[in-house]
Amino acid sequence: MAVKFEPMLTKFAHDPKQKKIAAYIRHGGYKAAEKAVKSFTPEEIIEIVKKSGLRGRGGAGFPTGLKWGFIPKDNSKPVYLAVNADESEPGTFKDRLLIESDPHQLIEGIIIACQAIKSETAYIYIRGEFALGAGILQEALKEAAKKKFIGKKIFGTGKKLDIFIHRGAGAYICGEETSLLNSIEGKRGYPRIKPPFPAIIGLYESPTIINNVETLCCLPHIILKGAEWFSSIGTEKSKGPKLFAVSGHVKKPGVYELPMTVTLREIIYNICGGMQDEKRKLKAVIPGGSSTPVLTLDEIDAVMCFDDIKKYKTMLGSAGVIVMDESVCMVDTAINLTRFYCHESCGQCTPCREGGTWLLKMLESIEAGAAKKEDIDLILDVCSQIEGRTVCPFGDAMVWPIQGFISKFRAEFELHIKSEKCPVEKDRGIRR
Amino acid sequence: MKRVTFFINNGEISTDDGKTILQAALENGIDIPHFCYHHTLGIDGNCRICLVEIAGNPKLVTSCTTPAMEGMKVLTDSIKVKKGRAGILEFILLNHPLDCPVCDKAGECVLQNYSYEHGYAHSRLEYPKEHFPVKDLGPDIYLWTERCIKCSRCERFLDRISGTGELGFFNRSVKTELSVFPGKPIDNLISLNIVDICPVGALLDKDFLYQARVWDMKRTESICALCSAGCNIEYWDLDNRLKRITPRHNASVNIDWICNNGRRSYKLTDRDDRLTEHKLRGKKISLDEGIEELINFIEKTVDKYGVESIAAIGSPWLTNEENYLIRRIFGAELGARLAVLPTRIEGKDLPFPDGFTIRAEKAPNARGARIAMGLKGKKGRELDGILQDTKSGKIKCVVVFNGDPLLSLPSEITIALRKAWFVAVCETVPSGLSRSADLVFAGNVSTEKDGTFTNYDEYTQRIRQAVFKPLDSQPEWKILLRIAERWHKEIKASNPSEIYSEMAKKVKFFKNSDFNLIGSKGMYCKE
Repeated sequence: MAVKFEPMLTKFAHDPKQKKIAAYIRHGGYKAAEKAVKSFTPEEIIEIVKKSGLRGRGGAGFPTGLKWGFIPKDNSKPVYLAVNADESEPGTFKDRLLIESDPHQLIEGIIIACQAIKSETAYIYIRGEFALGAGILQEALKEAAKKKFIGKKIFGTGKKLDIFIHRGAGAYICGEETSLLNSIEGKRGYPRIKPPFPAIIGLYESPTIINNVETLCCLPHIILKGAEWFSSIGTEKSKGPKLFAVSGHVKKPGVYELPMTVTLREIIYNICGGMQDEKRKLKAVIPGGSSTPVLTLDEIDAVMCFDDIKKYKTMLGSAGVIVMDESVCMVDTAINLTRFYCHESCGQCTPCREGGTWLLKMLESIEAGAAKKEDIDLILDVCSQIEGRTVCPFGDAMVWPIQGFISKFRAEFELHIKSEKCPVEKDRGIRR
Repeated sequence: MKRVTFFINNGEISTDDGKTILQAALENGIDIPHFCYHHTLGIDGNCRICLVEIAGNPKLVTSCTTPAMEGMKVLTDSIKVKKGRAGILEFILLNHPLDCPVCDKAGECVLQNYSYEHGYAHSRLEYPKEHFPVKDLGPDIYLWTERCIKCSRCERFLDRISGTGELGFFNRSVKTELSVFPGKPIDNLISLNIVDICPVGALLDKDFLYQARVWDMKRTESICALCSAGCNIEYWDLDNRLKRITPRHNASVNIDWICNNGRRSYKLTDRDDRLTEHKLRGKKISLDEGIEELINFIEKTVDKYGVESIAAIGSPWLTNEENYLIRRIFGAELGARLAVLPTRIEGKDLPFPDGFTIRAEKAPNARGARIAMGLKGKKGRELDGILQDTKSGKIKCVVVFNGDPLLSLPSEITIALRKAWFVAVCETVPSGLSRSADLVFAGNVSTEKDGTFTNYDEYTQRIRQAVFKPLDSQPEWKILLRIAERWHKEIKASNPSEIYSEMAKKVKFFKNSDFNLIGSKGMYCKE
C-alpha cells in the first residue's frame, strides 16, 4: 500500500456538517465546478479526464473520458447526463456513503461532467431504497440552486443546468444503464438492445452519458489537482483513489478509500482488522460485488485493480468485498446469490428468465442432499447456455458466481451430493 | 442506397446497408429460426433463438440485432450455433406445458416446428413446471398463459399497429406473464391479428377454439368481400364448412392484417335461409326454364315497347366478369339501360397507426363494377334514372343481379322496381325484392365462385371458390353465360378466365392484364 495515500473522496465523510453547502465550500468545494464552467472548454475537460486515466467505477471500468467522446460531433439534439445511483449489487455500498455524507461533491461532479458533454439536464437515478440519500440530495440541490451553482445562469455565466432526482422502484435491473433510461422514461425497466449505444441514442432518443456516482465524485479532485496528480495514484491502468466496501467476517467492515495497488490480504488483515472470529479460517472472498466469481484463501494476494485481478478469472467490479470464513457453505452462498438474481431477472429475454430458476432449483437440491453427481455438470452446462446469450450483462452476472463457486469449490459441491446433506457447520448469520 | 455484400453459410448475399443479418437472410429465402422478430413489428431481440456465429467472433450473436457488415462471414448451422439454439429452445420449453395434442395452434405452431427441427428430444428439467391460469382477455381472445414464450409480438402489435396498447407484461423473472390491465379488455377492431402473429398457442380465437385441427382443413386464397379495401385472406374449411378466415400478406393492400369483422364474415353467408332453387312466381323451375321465360318476356317487350323498356342492374358485390357480362348481354347486344346498385357506406374510413384501414364503403367491387359496366357518369345517376322511369311506367322489365349477401336492398329501390311488369332477380338470400319478384335465380356469394374484384385503389385481385354452392344455385357468371348461350352465340366463354379475356378485349381498363397473371398478389391493371 502506498505510504503517502490520503483519502480524497471520503476526506470529510465523517463530518456531519459536510452535507451543508457552507461546510462544503469551506472545505474548498465548488471551486472545481466554477473553474470548469468559466475557464475550460468541453474539449479541455475531456482531455484532462482522459489524461487522468479515470475509469468508470460502476463495475465495467470503461475509461470515462473516452465514453464522453462518443457523443456525435454533429449532434443537434439535447444531451443528457444520467447519474447511476441505483447501487443495488449485493455487497456494494460505496455510493450510498458518498450520497449521504457528501452530496455536494456529487453535484459538483455532475456540473463538471455536464460541461464536458455540453448537457443542460442531468437526472440522478437513485435507488428507491435510498430514501435517506434522496432526501439529502434534494436538500443539497436546493442549496446549490440558491447559490446559483445549478439552474439558470450558473456561476454568473450564460450556461444553465437542471438536475432532477428520479427515484427507482426497487428493481436491481434498473441499475443496468439502458433499463435505467427506460425507467426514467416511465417504461418498464427492460434493458435495450445495443447498438445503438446510449451515447448515440439514449434518453428520449437523444445522446446520453451514464456515469456512476463515484466516477463523478472523482471529477472535482481531478479538475482541482490536475490529471497528473490523479494518475500518480494506483497502478499503470487503474488510476486514482477507489472506494472498497468490505462486508462479511472481518473485524471492521465498512467503506475504505484506497489506491488500487492494495491487495485483498492487506484489505482483510491490515485495514479491516483481520477475521471477525480469529479461530476460524478465511474460506472465500467475493472481490467485486456479488456477480464477480469468488476467490479462495490462496488467491487473496490479488492486487485490487481492474487488470491484475483478471489473472484469477474474476473482476474488480464495483469493489464490494465480501469476506467469508469457514462457517459458510459455498452451496448455500451460491443459492443465496442465485435466489437474488432469479428474483431480479427482468423477464425480457429467454435464457435469464427461464434458466435462472432452473439453476436455483438444482442448487437447492444439492444443498438439500437430493442431487445426483451429474447435476454439477448440468448446472455448468446450463450456465454456459445463459452466458453471453442475453440482452444485457445480467445473464453473465447470474452465472459467473455459480461458475466461480463450482470451479473453486467443486469438492464441497460433490461432498454435498455424496453425503446427501450439507456438510458445513453453519453460522446461521447470513442465511435469509 | 448503399448495398453491403456478405456471406451466409458461404453463399453470397447482398442487402441494403443497415439491415440486420436476419432481415437479409429472410429476404434471400434463408430461414434463421426466430420468434420475436416480425417484419412489421421491428426488432426486439428478446427470444434469442436466432443465434448465429460470425467468423472471428467467439460469442454467438443474435442475427436479428446484428447489422450485416461488408464481407462478414455468418454461419447459421455450425455445431456451436446448433448447440446454442437447442439451448435456447430448451429454456423456452422448460415451463411450456407441451400440450400440443389439445392445443389449437398445433400444426401451425412455430415453436412446435422449431422444437422438432432444432430441439432436444428430452427435457433435463426434473422439477415441477411453473403454472399459470388461462385468462379471458376480452370478447374474442383467450390467453393460455403457460404456453406464452414472452416474445412480445402481441404487445408490440397493440402498441404500434392498432395503437390501443391493451396488453402488458406483469411481474418479473420466470413469473413474468402477459395480461391486460384490470377492467380494460382487448377490444379493438383488429385485435384478432395478434392470434395470427402469436408464434405459439398462447393467444387463441374464441370463435375457432376447438373447432378443427389445422392440418384437416383445406385452404383457399381469396379476397375479403366485406369492404372495398380488398384484404387478402385465406378461407379455411373442414368438409365444406368454413371454419375461419386468416389474413394473407400483401404489402400493397392489407400488409399482414384483416379486421375482426372480416374474420367473422364467413358466418354471414353460412345461413339457413340461403336461396337454393330458382323460382317462377313461387314455383320451383329449372335454370333453363327460367332463362327461357326471361328471354321470352324481354323479346316480347322489346318488340312492343322498344329496348328503352328494359333495364339491367349490376352490383358492387359481383365480380368484374359478372358485371361485364351484364353489360355485354343486356347493354351492348340488346341496348337496355344499365346501372349498378349503390354501395353501402357505414361511417368513415377507420385508419390505424401503421396505415391499415377499414373502409367505410362496405362492398368489395364498387370500383370494378362501374368500370366493367362502363358507367362513367356521376355515381348513382343511372340508377336514379332507371328508378324514376320504372315508377313512371316507362320501364317494363328489370333484371337485377344483387349479390349482396348481407343486407336486402334499400326500400326505396325495392319499392320503385316492384312497379315494373316483370322483375327478375338473382340473389343469394331472400330480400324484399326477391319475395315479390316474378323470377328469382339463386346466386352464389364470393366464397362459392371464382372471379376478380377491383378495390378502392383500382387494384385487381382474384377470388377463388372455397366451398360448394348450395343445391341448385349457380354463380352469376354461369347464369349469365347460359343467357348468352341462348341469345348471343358470339360470346365464347365457359369460365371466369375466358370471360376476363373477353373483357380485356373490350374494356380499356383491363386491356393489358390477364386473369391468370393476377395470381395471388393481385395487380394494377391501369396502363
